[in-house]
Amino acid sequence: MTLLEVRGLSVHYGAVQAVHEVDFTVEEGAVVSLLGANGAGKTSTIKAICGAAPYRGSIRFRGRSLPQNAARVRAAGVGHVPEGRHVFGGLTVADNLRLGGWGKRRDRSSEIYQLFPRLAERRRQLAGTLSGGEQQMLAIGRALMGEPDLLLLDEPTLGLAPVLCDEIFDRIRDVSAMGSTLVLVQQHTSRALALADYVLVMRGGRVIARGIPDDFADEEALSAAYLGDEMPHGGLNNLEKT
Amino acid sequence: MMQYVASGLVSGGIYATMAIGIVLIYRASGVINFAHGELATFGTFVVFACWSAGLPLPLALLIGLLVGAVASPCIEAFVLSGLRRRTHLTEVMATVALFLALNGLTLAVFGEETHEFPALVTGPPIEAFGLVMSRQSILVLVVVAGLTLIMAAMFRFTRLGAAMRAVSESRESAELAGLPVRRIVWSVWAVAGMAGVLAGVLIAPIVYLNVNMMIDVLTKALAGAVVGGLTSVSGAITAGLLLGVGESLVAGYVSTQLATPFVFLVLVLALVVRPQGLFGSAPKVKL
Ligand SMILES: Nc1ncnc2c1ncn2[C@@H]1O[C@H](COP(=O)(O)OP(=O)(O)O)[C@@H](O)[C@H]1O
Ligand SMILES: [Mg+2]
Repeated sequence: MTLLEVRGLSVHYGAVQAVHEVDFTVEEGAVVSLLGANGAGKTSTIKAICGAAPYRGSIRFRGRSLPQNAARVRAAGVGHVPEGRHVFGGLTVADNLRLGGWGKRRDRSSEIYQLFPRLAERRRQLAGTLSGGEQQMLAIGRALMGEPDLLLLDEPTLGLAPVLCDEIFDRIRDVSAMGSTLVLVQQHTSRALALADYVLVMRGGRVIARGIPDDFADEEALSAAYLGDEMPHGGLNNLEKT
Repeated sequence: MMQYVASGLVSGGIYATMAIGIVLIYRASGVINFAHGELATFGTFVVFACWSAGLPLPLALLIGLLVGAVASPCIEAFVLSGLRRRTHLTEVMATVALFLALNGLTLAVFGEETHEFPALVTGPPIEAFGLVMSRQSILVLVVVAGLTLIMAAMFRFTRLGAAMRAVSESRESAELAGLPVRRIVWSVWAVAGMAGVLAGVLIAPIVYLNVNMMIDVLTKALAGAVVGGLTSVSGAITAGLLLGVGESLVAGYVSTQLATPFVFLVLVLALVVRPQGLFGSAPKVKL
């Protein structure tokens, strides 16, 4: 079943158009990787879906149009782990999680602490004093507190040491295994490809390639495509499966 | 000496209660709300009108607090959010304009007479430790202490309190986390509005109810808020109390005429020597 359907999505910042007429769908239970170099328009796309950036076009979730209001999108069942984590540094870990459960009856924090034992040890600590990796775990945990049906993760390993990246990816795999549908934004390919059921590549605000991970086995062609290098041997045309 | 300190704590307690509202609003919206005092006056007149109409005082007080809780967020929701170009200058101009408008509205609705406002507690003054204090003064101290505790508990222990702190810390992060930011900001204004009306009801029996009764209080509360750092609730409370005591000591030992200038001299000194306030972090905006 289609969970998310994005049609003709455009995002403008004043005169700058960051996203051009983007179309894609996300099936229930899938992991979709959204790849692309810096400035490709990935974050703008995610923010539009989350109601955190104004857009033109249609975004439907479970067949219904999503409101352009972050709080209501969240209430509709879409969780957002924003780029740059955006945890509340002056609040404790526990309070950050508590806010993630805004409007929810059930308190999922014990599940979150099970998933991220490091957070459990630090629940009384201020989020601002956590390491980058721990803050990322907190940002994921905070989004999961809202019991989302769809979780959008925007560069969850940005700026983290490789061991931490592995740990974060393991946890993301756990979340996926629990049945959540994920959209995973990444600049680096290998981990994202390993986890994905479906891959979208953006460049210059457009989806320039899409397919299952096997289609992108030729990593060189993929890198060329999303890093914006000149196409060496028509690699992009081979990728274009739309 | 102790008598001056005690009476200074009473007026300082009122400044502190008003300063709390100014700080809360500043933290939530980044605005100095010059209309805060007039809103308190209006609410206090509502309490007086309800009481004059025969309602019991506690019920009248409840209605007044509700008026404060509703009217205060309206300033943010309908005036400030409506500004086409929202800059610090337009915000200040809007709240100053509202200050004058509300003052005029109160005058038009309730008249310019000065009224004797019913004290919440009555009875002869109490003598203890060589001090003589009216029951109303003692009530002010108790209420300020209670309010401080309630505020602290709300911010620390409730989810709404945590959300208020989160929005103050970063509106953008709160937005991205999917918190209902506008409703949280309105709640802050509502809490501030109620604290303002409470301050009005506390001071009215002491200074008599009048359209202009909060002007002096507001300017001193503003001084307290700024001296306290503008972003720190505990700083505002401490500074409000200290200014009240200092003012009372100056009035007692130097001259009553110099009491008010003293407060603003402290304000100017604070801005020169320690602009981040007693407890505040570096100021976020310049006015
Ligand atoms: N708030 C903004 N104001 C103006 N331009 C922006 C803003 N956010 C992003 N952009 C521009 O939009 C384009 C896409 O940015 P973004 O969506 O952040 O890409 P990505 O997440 O793929 O790095 C970039 O050219 C960026 O400079
Ligand atoms: Mg990005």
